[in-house]
Amino acid sequence: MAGTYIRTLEVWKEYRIGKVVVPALKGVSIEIEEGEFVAIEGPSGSGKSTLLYLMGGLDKPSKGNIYVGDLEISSLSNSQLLSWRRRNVGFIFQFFHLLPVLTALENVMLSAELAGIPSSERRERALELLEFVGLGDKLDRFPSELSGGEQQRVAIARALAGDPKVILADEPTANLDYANKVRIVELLKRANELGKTVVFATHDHTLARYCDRVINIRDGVVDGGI
Amino acid sequence: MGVFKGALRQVVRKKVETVSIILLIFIVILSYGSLVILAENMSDHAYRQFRAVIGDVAIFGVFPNDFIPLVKDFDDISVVKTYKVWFGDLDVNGSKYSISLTDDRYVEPLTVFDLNGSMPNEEGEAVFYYALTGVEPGGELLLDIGDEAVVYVVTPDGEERSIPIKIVGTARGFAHLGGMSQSIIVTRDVIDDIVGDRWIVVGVYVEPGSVDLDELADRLEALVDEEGYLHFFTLVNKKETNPVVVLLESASTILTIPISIVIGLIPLLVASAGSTTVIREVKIIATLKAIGSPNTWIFRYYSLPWIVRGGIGTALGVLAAPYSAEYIYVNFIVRDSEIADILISTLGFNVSNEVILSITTLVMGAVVIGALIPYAIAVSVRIVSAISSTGLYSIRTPVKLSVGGSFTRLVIRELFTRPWKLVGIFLSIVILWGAVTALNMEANGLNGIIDTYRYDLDFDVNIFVSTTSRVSIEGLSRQISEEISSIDGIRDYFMIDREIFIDMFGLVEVGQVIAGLQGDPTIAFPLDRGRYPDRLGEAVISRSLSILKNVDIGDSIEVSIDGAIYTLEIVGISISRLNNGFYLLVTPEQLSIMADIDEELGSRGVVIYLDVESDVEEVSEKVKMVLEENPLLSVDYTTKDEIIDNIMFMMNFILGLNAGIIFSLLLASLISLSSIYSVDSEAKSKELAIVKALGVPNIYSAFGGVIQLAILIPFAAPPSLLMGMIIADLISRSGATAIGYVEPMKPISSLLSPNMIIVFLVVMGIVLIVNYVKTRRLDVIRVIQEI
Repeated sequence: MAGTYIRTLEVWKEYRIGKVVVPALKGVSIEIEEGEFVAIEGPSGSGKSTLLYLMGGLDKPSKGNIYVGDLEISSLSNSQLLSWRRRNVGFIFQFFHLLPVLTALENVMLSAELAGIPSSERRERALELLEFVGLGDKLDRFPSELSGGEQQRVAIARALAGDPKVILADEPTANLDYANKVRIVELLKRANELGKTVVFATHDHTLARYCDRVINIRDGVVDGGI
Repeated sequence: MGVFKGALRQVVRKKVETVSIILLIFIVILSYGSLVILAENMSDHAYRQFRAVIGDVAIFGVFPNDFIPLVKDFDDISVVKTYKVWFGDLDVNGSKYSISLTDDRYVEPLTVFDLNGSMPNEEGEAVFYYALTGVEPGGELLLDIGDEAVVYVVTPDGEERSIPIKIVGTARGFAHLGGMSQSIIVTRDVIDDIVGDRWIVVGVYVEPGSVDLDELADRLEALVDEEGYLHFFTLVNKKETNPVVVLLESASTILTIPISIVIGLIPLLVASAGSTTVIREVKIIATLKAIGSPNTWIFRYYSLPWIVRGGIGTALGVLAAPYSAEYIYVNFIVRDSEIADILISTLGFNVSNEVILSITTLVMGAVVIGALIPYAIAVSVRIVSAISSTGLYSIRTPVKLSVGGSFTRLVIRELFTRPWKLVGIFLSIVILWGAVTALNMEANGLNGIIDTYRYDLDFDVNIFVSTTSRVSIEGLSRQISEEISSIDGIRDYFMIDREIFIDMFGLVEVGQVIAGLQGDPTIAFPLDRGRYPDRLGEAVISRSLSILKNVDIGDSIEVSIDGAIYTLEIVGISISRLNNGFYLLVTPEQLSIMADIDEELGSRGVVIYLDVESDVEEVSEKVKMVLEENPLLSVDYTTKDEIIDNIMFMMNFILGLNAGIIFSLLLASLISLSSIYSVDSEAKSKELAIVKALGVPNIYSAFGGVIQLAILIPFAAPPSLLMGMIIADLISRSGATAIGYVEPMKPISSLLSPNMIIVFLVVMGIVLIVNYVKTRRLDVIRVIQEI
């Protein structure tokens, strides 16, 4: 391991629902090493997705600090976060969220384009990544023409397209059968072996064996780990 | 009841949809409805004022007292009114003006009449009356209280009189007394002294709807002929053919046609925004269907709310339109608050149930048509595929258009994957663009008219020489010709016999037949093609009429005068625009056959077109002075520059109205487009959230809408041009009766006028802002986590 890469210090996140303020995270402090493969495990509503989104700069904490590398992302403006996210983070979502009007190849190329990869290299990189996830024969399929497992593999390729240092996956296996679950986690592991820091949220503890470390979270509080 | 409750809940919850469609319908009804209500009231007022004075049928001539009991003997006539009116020349400080002369009996039935000072009580006292519609408001009065003048008349028996008058009152109103815009009201003794024991106008009233008025007019004319009385003309006052009413209705179409096109936006907005809502809620629809909800439930949630919104917008518009119409009437049409007060208190300002019903039916019909589209889409949702989909749902497989980079492809394909959004945006552009293009074509046409006057017509001034005495036109023209030849500074001239009116479009007032008497016709009536008439049965037709009647050289045209039909062969086409371009130029002999000129009542005379070498005003004044040495001649002149100024005034007025119409169209299109994009942004909020999460800046996403517009604009150009041509033709043809036929000029450049470029920039700016605000306010995490 090459030292701490992601660090959260006493991070709180509160949401206002009507007149009620609901805390999703209550002073979470964790550290993730560079190149580590970490699962954040907890039941639904425990705050694991919220923590993941905060680490990816999709949202800002109500209190506390978040560092990624040498940068305190919790102090960045929305536009700075947008720009930072483009080059440093690859997201994978529970519901895949591929853009329905773009083909598998184009979904991956869009991410490469946003990351600033030169146009001459984008297609090659997208092809490479779709081969990597085993979809080299379904490049021109629209998401509606792919199975759930295939869509999530395209999402992994998309997350890797910008060559980010961190891959954040929110329940990437929740909507898949067991065989596809394993396949997705193995792909994430392979991405990790390529040097990516991979953090994924899950409520399925059977996947823990694939990870370097598991951080348990309950009711917005870190509840130990292995 | 439960059905409406559910629909009302949707109306309250979905504020963007509710506000936008209510606002759109409100604007459409306010602009279109106001104009329709305005036109209806103007027509009604004009008709009722006519009826108040002349009744249902009026015959003009010279009728002894014995005639009146014969008319009263007609079973179907309930009331007979008789008036004395005569014609003369008013001499004010040496200048002469054609006027009518009448007494308080003619004025009494006027419904709209405002007097300053008093009515004449003693011989020599007079009121100067002017018709509001015949003179510019706010101008200086020809005569005011205390002024003295002389009126020259020639009695029906041919006796010349000069009558000194002193003005004791001034009055204004809407009616043209005796058809003249300026009148002198004198005591009964004075008018009795001129016309003797005879009546000039006999107006009859019947029970509404009880008699065929044309048939009654024929019977009255037959009686006049039988008795051998002098008969000038007969006026049948039917609302549908009343010349003022027809002119007003023609004028109002110039405004209502382009505005009515906006009604087309209503179903588009409803269909587009409604179908987008269906796409957004496709899982809810699938769930409703899965649990066995009947289609009435789907209708309740996805169609009925639109109909409720449409009903609210229509109700608000219908309530507001009469006030708006009355405001326009008082401040922009009548432009005289005292007269407007009298007018409205006397005749009312009413909104007929038929108008409300027709507007409501039109608008609500458009809403219902639009509301059926989301219903149809919702009913066709496939339950299994919609419920089982976990990613972003696309109702149809995207069209694979591969243009540009990934983001551009995303924007383009997204547009073509939502057909109703595509149709909504496309047709909103076409409607806006087509209407603005049509107005540009009309403006080009008006410019063309000015160019015709400037560059194609050689005359510098036209001089109207009129007389109320019975003269031989031939003798008069010979005399004028001799006088003109003695005046220095005139290069050339052309003299015509002043018009007789013909029935050209079912309207006597519209078409004129004129005949060249002396001089060079090319000065005022240059030919586009063909030759001038040189024998009976031949005519040159104006270019405007040739287009409207679809006739060309070699064709024959039928015209009717007092029921007699004359067939004329077209031998030439003239580009001049005399009488709004509705004229036929024939030989003097032909004109004599077509009209019994000597028995014409009122102003008779000739028009001379002068091509002047030096100072136009100086030469015109000299001509006026020389001709008015004859006490029975009244001379008035208009320079070409004044004619051009008048056309420019009309052009600016029409362009000003056009600007108002463009603004309404723009507002309606902006509401339509911004709400389509706004509702669509919500429907595709997940896509927006994902691209935002991936790092696409908000402004990029916002630009997506602008790119979509920019892509559609070139495709919208051909239909917009076609639509512009059709609307421009429609406006020109239906507005021709009022302002003459403005031949629309249709170059492709009409599409891209500076005003259209500004309109496009405004539209794109608003779409950019709407999209940017929507994207910026998007809660990415909440949207992404939604199933």
